Amino acid sequence: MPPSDRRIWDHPILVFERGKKVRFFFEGVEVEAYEGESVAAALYAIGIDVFSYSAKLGRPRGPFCMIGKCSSCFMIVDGVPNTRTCVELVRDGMRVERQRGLAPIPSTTPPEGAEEEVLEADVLVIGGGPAGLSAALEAASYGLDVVLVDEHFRLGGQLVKQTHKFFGSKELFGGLRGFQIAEVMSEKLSKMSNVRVLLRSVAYGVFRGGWVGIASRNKLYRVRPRAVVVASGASEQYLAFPGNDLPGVMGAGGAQTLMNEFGVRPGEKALVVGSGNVGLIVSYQLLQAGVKVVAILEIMPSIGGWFVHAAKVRRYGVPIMTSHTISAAWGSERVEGATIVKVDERFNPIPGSERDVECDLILISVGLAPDARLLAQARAVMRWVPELGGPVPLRTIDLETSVPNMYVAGDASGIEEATSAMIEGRIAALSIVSKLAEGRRGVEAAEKAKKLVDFLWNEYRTSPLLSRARRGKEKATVSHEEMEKLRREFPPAASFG
Amino acid sequence: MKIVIVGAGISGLFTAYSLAKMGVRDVVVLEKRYVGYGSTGRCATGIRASFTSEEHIVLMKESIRLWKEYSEGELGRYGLNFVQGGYVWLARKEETVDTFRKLVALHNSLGVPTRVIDRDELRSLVPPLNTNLVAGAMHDPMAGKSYVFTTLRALMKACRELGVRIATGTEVRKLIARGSRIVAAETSKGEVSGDIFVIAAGAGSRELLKTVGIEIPTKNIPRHILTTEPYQRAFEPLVIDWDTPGVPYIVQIIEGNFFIGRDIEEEPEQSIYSQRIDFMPKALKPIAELFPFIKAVRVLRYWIGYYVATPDNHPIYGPVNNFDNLFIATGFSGHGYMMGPVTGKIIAEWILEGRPSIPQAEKLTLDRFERGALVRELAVIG
Ligand SMILES: Cc1cc2nc3c(=O)[nH]c(=O)nc-3n(C[C@H](O)[C@H](O)[C@H](O)COP(=O)(O)OP(=O)(O)OC[C@H]3O[C@@H](n4cnc5c(N)ncnc54)[C@H](O)[C@@H]3O)c2cc1C
Repeated sequence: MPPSDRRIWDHPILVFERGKKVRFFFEGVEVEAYEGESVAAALYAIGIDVFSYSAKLGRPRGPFCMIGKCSSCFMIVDGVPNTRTCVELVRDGMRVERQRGLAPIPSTTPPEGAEEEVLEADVLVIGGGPAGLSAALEAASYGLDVVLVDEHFRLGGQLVKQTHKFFGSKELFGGLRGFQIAEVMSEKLSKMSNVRVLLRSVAYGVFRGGWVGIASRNKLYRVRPRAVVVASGASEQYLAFPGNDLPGVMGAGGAQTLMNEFGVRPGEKALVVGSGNVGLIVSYQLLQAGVKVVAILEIMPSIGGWFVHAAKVRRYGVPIMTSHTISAAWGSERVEGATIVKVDERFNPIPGSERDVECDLILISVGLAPDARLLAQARAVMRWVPELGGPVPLRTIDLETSVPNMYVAGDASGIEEATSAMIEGRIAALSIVSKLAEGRRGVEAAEKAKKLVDFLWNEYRTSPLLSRARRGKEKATVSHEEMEKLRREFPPAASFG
Repeated sequence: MKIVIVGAGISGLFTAYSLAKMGVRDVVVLEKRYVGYGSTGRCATGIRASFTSEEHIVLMKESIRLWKEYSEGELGRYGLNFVQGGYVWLARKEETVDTFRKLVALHNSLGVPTRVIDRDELRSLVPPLNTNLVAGAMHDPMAGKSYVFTTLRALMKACRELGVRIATGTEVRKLIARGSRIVAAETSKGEVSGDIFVIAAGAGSRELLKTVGIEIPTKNIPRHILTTEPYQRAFEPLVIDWDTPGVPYIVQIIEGNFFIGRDIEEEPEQSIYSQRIDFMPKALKPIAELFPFIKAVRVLRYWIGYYVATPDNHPIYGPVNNFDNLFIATGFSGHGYMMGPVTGKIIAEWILEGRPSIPQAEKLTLDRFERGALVRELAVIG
């Protein structure tokens, strides 16, 4: 049945080592995949575009974010509807069906309810990306008991799809590619006996008395940690235009997951919307994966991302069209083209400037939004900071929020990039260690934290490339005295420690 | 005549709507946060008349009539939807079925057509139910539900078209009295004067009324509730697990989600932002016994709202002694959403015509607590 195979076998810099073959059923027909693939990636690889039909209007939908943050890839898996197939591993014999509108209630049910377990932990780290991994490693290296949870089936967060080499010193993993950094850190973590990693597990809430609930597959954990680091990352922003829900309209990060992590070509001819670093980098990666890039659109009068990245794609003849945006996507069961339009100084479309382009892939890279929902639910005091992508918790310089002993690090604290995420993760952990560890070790941790804070603000973030993020993070950072005042005025729903 | 209503929940909005419909041109609703922020936006959307006091039954029957009428008229066109899907009370124990029989006799005598039903009928009403655990059930076919947010949207639209002003983000900090009249409300955005004041401020009513020396005997009791993802219609009635402590319930709301609640012990006035880790398992376990599919369904959200409870679990309606131009509509004790239409109607009548068209409402004024004339339950059950 599958008309094509979109798997990449030949890539200039990446080697895809595919696992053993797995056979499962899609709409009753047996299909093949490889061990370690997500259901979404495996289906996409064999040419499946439509994953479901929407609840009210029955419109076709395909995957968008590929990291478990949206609802675009919902399917019925083994009788259970609304399963996020992008974070579901393929298994032999599993049955996957398209969801058509609202699903009927599940037809198969587990015989037992979820088992419950109380976990003991000094530090709970939520999110296993660069910030969370760094926080867990740092805290664990001082002997604290750490629980690390991630909703995905593998650690690494967005590092897994980052194929470029990092800058900086060896301590900052300079010279390694993102996915290699993820491997190094995960490997280190797996050797530490005081770290427990829970994958496919969602920290679903902060509760009275300082409890945190974690929902795993058929298991419910509750934990009352002495400190929490929220390193839950970010999700991609949508853009409103007719047809934006057609299969083939995807987040830029979603496309990166497909091609860089799973080695699956996301399309043949791509239109990229947004010329920030993500848009520029993804365009280059598309070219590496053998995808034609029709154009990169930028609504602003100038390119958003760094010059080095823009120069790279230009060398391949990809036009970067400033003062342009997308006004519609069209197609029946998948994108077949888009209408693009020029805008005036006030970003209004200029009538008559519309132009149709043919493409089967539209990548949205108009920014990320911090995922700080757990902090908001715990009633951390939040502030809307445009430079950081949306609402973020206010925090002290050592990243503690107004919920006592609840810290934030990485993109959840405001969109920046992976190296600062790693530094923030370590600062948060060290600040926790300085409170929890006895005697000399605590003092040592406090000193180390101070040095990192100094490096982050007075060296790393002085780069003009990070000036916007720096401005944002300044707005979100308050003094210890201000924080005490905020806590009195806006009491949190819970506290830790 | 300018009428100032405090609170944009179901009571305040229906009062504004009824007043505007009866021709009052100058109505303003003051809301401290946003429309539906209080208990209304947090409720389970159930509507029924099968109660155990004459007051409740008479008022609720009229309310149901209005829910229907409104859903077929202008409000219906704006999205208000009333589905008469019924309520079902489940008995796990044989004795409970006898209690149901007594209740049915009482309901029927007051014109509410409840019935005791057998397992076969139960299965056809609630197909996914595991009836093995059930000894019998009571069915109220007159009951139903209405999705809160479409109802609120319809009310906002209709009210605005009729000239009602709804001022959100406007907290009333105190009432200002002169002699036997309230002359203004002091708000976070300045003073608002008026000729008539209606306090429909839910959990905020007690503190606000204190500012003019009025004490109302209400307690704000946190009630917890969760919602699952939406699914195709599986069953219509709101189902109550009567024999399990805390009386768990489940209802598939009009949008398709399952709302599940259970009373857990709580201190009054406890913050509604203080969720409890034990609530979800406590609510879900008994419901999953009855509805095994629930074990494979995801919970989307869990939140807390207040029941504004009075000593006799009946609302406080109407005028108060000492003031000529002050009216109260609060203390619904967990049933204020369903009463919305009738609340609006009788409060508007009280203001414009001097008394409500339903005499039983007059037994629910604040002075009943001073007089010791609490509402009499015709049957005490459970
Ligand atoms: C979990 C739960 C389930 C429920 N299920 C049902 C059900 O199935 N059926 C049913 O009929 N009822 C149910 N109820 C009860 C129902 O929600 C309430 O009785 C009803 O919503 C009360 O409406 P109201 O307009 O009187 O008050 P509210 O909805 O609380 O509105 C009062 C408004 O006043 C505002 N306010 C307060 N103080 C001030 C101030 N000083 N200045 C300005 N504004 C102020 C508040 O912000 C609020 O918006 C349930 C309640 C809960 C918590």
